[in-house]
Amino acid sequence: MMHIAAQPLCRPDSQVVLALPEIHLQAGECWLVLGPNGAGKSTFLRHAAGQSAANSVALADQWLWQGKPLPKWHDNAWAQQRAYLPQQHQLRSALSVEAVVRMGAFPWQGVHARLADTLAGIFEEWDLQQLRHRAWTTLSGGEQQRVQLARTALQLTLAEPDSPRLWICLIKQWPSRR
Amino acid sequence: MADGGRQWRWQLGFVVGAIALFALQFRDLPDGVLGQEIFWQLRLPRLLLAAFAGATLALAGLWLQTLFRTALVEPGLLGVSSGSALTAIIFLVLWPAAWVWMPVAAMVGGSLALFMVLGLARRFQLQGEALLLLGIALNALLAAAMQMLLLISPDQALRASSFWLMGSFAYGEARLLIPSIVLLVVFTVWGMRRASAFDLWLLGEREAGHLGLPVAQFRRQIIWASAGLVALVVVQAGSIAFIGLMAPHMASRWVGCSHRALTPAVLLIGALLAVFADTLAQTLLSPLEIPVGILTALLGAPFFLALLRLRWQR
Repeated sequence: MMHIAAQPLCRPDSQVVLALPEIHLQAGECWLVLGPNGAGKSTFLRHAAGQSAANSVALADQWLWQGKPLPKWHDNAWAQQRAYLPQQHQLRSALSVEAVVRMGAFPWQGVHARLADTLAGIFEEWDLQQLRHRAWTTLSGGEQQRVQLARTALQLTLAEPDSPRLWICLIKQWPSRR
Repeated sequence: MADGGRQWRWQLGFVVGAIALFALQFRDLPDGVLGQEIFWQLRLPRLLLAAFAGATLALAGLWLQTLFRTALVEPGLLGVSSGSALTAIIFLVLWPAAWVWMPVAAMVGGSLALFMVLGLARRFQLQGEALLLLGIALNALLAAAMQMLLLISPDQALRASSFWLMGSFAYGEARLLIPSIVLLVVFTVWGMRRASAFDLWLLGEREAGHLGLPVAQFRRQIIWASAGLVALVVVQAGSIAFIGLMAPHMASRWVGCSHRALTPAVLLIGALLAVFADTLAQTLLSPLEIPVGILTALLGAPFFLALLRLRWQR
């Protein structure tokens, strides 16, 4: 599934940011990244999600998903297999909860046949039925995180059941689910 | 989200407002052929221009507010209008005969201003109020350049100087209006087709990228499209402030925040606001006519202050 070479992450000026062991992710595995503040957890996960921050670290070409280097993945094909939830959100708009969760279907434009059913399932699973029509800006911090988790969950649930999927979440506390 | 009762009130308000504004176009018409000619040759084209300009500025305002993720920006405040006007004047002075290409020159100027604001905002990580300061600085610079140019240019361009700085619907170019309306329809269709991408943009650029949106490409498209819209208005009516700020705000009160619903709503509200302001401009001190840009500023500035106050309280 995913292979990360035992090569340190470097800045463009070749200063080492993060030294890493060789990592193999297999299907069905769930990994937890722990460490003290500033250890580089977020940096590592951001790069695993394929986001090369232009001002900090050049993305290693030796990070492979399904045998293909991360930078070689096309935006949309990659979004159909990998969902990424960052720590902080920039969303300040009064969009409805349903509209925010529906954004998870963006990589699947055109494949709307299963969307209604999948969406109903996601709302139930994440206990969001009561919030469905609420405005995003009126939610509490915990509720907002649950909505964003549901959005990334929808993104991956819409994929074919046998296709490989990678779910990366940077969260402080996992919400209780039904 | 507006509930049913509020929806209904909004819609009633629009219908009554639109009918009243249209009826006002028949004011003080002399009897007979002269009255008909005044209506068909003067009032109706002007009404169309005002409605077109309002709708166009409102759509550009919506896109810019989405691009910068703040309700505090609009084409006038970011220097897009001044940028457009400046390059349009330069073009007019250098090649007066090639006026057909003036919208293109204006679009280049507007998008240059926008690229500059966006570049500086990203470089210094500016958001919200800080972004406004940047826009104000750029605006002052461009307006100064414009006045300088008008000062040294030959008479003909000079006479139109108040037009470029304050905006008016009295000098509309009939030959430009129909193609402009067609272009507005094209832009609107594009905006509706990309409505979900605009929604996605509100998540933040990185997260939009994680959902498969080609971020850099879409950013360029928003910039060129907004600058194009503003240019179409600027070459026909000069800089008109605050409609692009007010319309998206009112529309989101009416239909909520998703772009699929917002796009038609801002077009409607923008058109009504501009026609309203222009009707006031013609009648308030009649027979003297106030430049419509002054009136939109009079209406828009208190609105803007109220918006700032809301943000301050939050």
